[in-house]
Amino acid sequence: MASRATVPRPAETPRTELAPRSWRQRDHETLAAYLFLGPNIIGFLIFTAIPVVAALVIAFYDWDLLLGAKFIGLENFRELLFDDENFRAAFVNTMVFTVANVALSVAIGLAIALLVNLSLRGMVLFRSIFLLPYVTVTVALSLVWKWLYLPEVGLINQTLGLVGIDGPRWLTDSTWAMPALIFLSVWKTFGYNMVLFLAGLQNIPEHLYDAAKVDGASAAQRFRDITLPMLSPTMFFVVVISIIGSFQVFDQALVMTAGGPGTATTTLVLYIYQRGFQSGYMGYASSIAWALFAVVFVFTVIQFRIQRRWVSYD
Amino acid sequence: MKTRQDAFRLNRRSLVAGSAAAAGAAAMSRGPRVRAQDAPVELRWSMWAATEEEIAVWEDLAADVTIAHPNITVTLETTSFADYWDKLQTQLASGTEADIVAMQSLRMPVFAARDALRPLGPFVEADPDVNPDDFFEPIRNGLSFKDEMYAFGYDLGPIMLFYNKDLFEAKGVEPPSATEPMTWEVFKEKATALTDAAAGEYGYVIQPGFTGTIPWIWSGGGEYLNAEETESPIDSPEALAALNFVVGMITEEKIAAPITDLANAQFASEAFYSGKVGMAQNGPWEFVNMRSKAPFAFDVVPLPAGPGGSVTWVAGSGFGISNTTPNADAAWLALKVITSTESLMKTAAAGRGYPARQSAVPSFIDPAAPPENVAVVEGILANEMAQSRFLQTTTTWQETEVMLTQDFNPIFLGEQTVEEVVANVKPKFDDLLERHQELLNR
Repeated sequence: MASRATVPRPAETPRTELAPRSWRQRDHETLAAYLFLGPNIIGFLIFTAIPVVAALVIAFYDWDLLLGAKFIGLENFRELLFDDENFRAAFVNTMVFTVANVALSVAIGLAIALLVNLSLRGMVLFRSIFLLPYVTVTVALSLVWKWLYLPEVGLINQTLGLVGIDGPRWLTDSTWAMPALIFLSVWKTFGYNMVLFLAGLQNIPEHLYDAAKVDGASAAQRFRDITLPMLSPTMFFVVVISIIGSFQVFDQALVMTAGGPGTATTTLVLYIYQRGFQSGYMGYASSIAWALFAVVFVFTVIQFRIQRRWVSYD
Repeated sequence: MKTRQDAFRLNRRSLVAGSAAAAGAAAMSRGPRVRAQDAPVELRWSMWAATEEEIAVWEDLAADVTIAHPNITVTLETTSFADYWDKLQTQLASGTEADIVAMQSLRMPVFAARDALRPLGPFVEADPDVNPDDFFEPIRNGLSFKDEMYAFGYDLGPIMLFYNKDLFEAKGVEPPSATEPMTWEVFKEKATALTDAAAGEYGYVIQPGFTGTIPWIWSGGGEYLNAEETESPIDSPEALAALNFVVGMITEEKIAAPITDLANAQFASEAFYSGKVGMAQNGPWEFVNMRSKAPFAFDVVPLPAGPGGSVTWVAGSGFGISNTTPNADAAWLALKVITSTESLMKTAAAGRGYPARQSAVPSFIDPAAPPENVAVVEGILANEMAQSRFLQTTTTWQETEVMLTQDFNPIFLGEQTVEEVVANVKPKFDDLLERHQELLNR
C-alpha cells in the first residue's frame, strides 16, 4: 500500500493541472489571433463588406444623391445593358486596357525578373529601381507623365523627334490616348510582378537545373521545361491579381484624360465615378459597380477552372 | 410658367411676404435658439480656391467674423473649384456639409431644388440690420430658386475678353477697343496676326467645355435653352455656325492654342498666364490671379460681336446656410459679416471679384492695378457697350455639364464635326430638361 501509495500517478496529476493551463493558453492564442485579425476584419466589414451589400441594394433604386431613393427594380440594369452607349464604350475600353496591361506587365515583369535573378554585382539596386514606380502614388506619376506626353514640348515627342518621328498628340488623340494610359500602367506595375516572379524563381531548386544540364538540355529547354512549370503557381497568382487590378483602373484616366477624348479612355470605374459622384446618381453607379463585379467574377472563375490544366504545384 | 426673369423683380417685400409661412416653419424646425451672441460657436465654411492669394482673402473675412462676434470662430475649408461640387454633393448626402456653403449661381438650381440650403427669407425678415436690395439684381436672381433667395452674393461678373498687352505690342497688333466690341472678323484677323505656331504663340485660347461656348452661341444669334426650359435649340443653324466659328480657330485656321489637356479645368487660364496667348475669356474674378500670375500687362474688352451682337453671360457666387446646421443663427451672423459692404470691399479691392453689392463697387476700381479698362465690367453689366444675360441653368445642370464637357471635347480636338456632336448631344440635353421639369414641379 505504502509503496503503491508512493507511486506517483503522473498521468493523472499533470492532466488535471495541464488541462486548464492548455485551455488558458488556447484562449490566449485565440484572443491574440482575433486581436491581430480584428482591425483587418473590422476594416473589411466597414469599408468593403457593408458597402458591397449596400451597393447591391442601391442598384435597384433610382437614387439622386440629395433627393433620396426610389425602388425601380431592374430598370438600372436594363438601361445599362441595352440603352447606355457610354457604358458600352467604358466596358470595351476596360477590356482593351486589361488585356494589354496584363499581357505586357506580366511578360515584361517575367523578363526583368529573369534578368535581375542573375547573381551579378549591383543587382539589388536594379531590383529596387524597377520597383520604384509601383510604390509611387499613381496620381503623382500621372501628373508627371502628362508632361512627358505633351505634344510639342514633352520629353517623349522631343525624343521621337530626334530620330525623325513626328509623335502623336498622345492624350488628346483618341487613337493614342488609351495606348498612352496602358504604357504608363505597364511601366508602373511590371515592377511588382517582377518581385513576385523573382520570389518564385528563387524557390526553384538549383538541382533541377543541374540535372537538366547534365542531361544536355539547352537554356531554352531549361526555361520551357523547368522554369515555366515551376513558376506556374506564381504566374497564376500574378495573372489573377493583374486582371483584377486592371479592371479597376481609374486614377490614370481621371488625372490624365478625364476619360477623353470623348469616351476614348472612360473606364468602368471612371464611369462609376462620373455617374455617382459627378452627376449624383448613386443607384445607377451601383448597378455599374455590380456589372463590373460580375465581369471580374466570371474572369476569375474561368481562371481557376483552367488553372488545373497549366498550373503545377509540385 | 414663371421664368427666372420674374425672380429678377424680386424685392425685399415680396421676398418677405413669400416666405412668411416658411419663416414660422423654419423657426420651429430650428429648435432651441442658440444664443449666438453668448455661447461659443465653431462654424465651418466651405469654399473653392485655386491660389494662396484667394485663400488669404477668405481667411481674412473668417477672422472678421470673430472680431464682430467674439464667440464665433469660422474655419475655412477650401477645395479646388472642380472638386468642390463633387465634395459638396457627397457632404450633403452624408450630412457633413459645412455650416456656411459657397454656391455658384450656375449650380443654385441643382442644390436649391434638392433642399441643400436654407431659405434666407425668414432671416431677412427677422433682422432689421440687412439690406438685400443692395445686391445687384442679376446676383439676387442667380442665387434664388423659385422666387426664394438661398444665398447672399459676394461677386458677379460678365465674361469678357482678356488680352495680353505686351504680346499685342510685340506683334504690332492694334489693341481692341474698350468701348466698341470688335467684330468676329476683326477678332480673327487679330488672332491670326498674333499667331506664330512655330514659337508656340497663338491668338486665342478657350477651355474645352460647354459654358465657354455659350457667349459665342449667343453672339452668333443662337440659344442653348428655350424660354420654357423644355428643349435645347443647340442644333439651330445660328448655334452650329457659332460653334464652328470658335472651334475652327483651333482645328482649321490654327490661330487658337491646341487643346493639350482635357483633365485640367485651368487649362485655358494657365495657357494665358504663360504669356504665349494673345486673348482668352474670363470674368472679373480672375483679376486677382492675373495680377499675381501673369508676367505681362493685361487688359479687358467686351467679347467680339457676331451676327447677334456682343452677348455675354453674367454669373456670380455667394454663400448660403446649410439646411441641416444646428448653428443656423450663428451662421446667419457670420454670413452677414462675410457678405457685408466692408467685406465685399475687401474682396473687391483684392481683385477677387466684382462685388455683388452696389455699395462696394468703388473699392473694385483701383487706378494703380490692372486692368486699365475696368469700367468695361460696369458697362457690360449695364448693357451699354455689350449685352449681358444671366447664365441660365437647370436643376440637372451638374449632369448636363458632365455630359456636355465630355461629349464636346472631340470638336475642340478636330476629331468630330460640330454637327455630329450636336446631333448626339441634343437628345441627351432634352432628356435632362425633361428631368429638370420633373424636379421643378416636385
